[in-house]
Amino acid sequence: MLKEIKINTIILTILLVLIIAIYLLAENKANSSFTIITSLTAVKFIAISFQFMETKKANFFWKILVSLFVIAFLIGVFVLS
Amino acid sequence: MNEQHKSIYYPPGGILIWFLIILEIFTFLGGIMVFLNYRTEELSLFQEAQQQLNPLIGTINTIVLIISGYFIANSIHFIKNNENKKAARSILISLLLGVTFLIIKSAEYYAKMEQGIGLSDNTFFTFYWMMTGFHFIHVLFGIGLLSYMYIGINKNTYHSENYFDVESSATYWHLCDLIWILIFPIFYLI
Repeated sequence: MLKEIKINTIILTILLVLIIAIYLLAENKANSSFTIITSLTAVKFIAISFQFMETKKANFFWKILVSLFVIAFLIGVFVLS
Repeated sequence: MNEQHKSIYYPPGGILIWFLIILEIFTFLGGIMVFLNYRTEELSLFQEAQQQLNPLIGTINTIVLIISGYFIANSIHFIKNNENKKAARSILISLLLGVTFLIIKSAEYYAKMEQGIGLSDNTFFTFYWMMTGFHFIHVLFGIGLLSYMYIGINKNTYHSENYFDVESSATYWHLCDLIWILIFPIFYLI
């Protein structure tokens, strides 16, 4: 149990760092910021889904479905922007 | 319960909430795609409109919601371990952070309304009001659910032998996180 809370805390720390990094990147308006922001958004989505929502404990089907959604999101955003 | 989750029919939180999650995130994905399509057609208008949003407020709200998700995730581990007081406290913190999110968002909405920016102002703000408003309603409903779970844990209705509803509510709450994670950069940052 404690181990899971420890992992949650590590994931939370990573997520907070990513959120702040994304904000700073967007503020700087660098050329590569769009790609990085979109990719980091996908990473955050995966982290929340697999760790906080415990998709990592679910059947393979649900893991694949979440992963496919993230891929669809990335393709959609990159194609339409 | 963990072994049960390995079955396709028993994902964490239950299959019904997962049907809802899949339906919701794909609906929002559709909305994001249509938004991006319009953005390509009216790029300068969208970039100009985006300047009227404060990314710092959006970032603070993201942090608030993520921390809230962390506490609700921990509450499930506490309740499984029969630590009901800790579980209730985690849910309460999560609940208060959810309320904080809504207060910040309401203040942002109020500021926009004061500036006369409404649903029909332009395409960007039509999407902004529709999608963030839809998400706002989800969070509001989630707060109702978490309040009910908080009362249930305190009354000992939910405990280590009966926590399915709490797990389903937590999964719903994470859905609110996930939707916000997707729409926040689209409206505020890129």
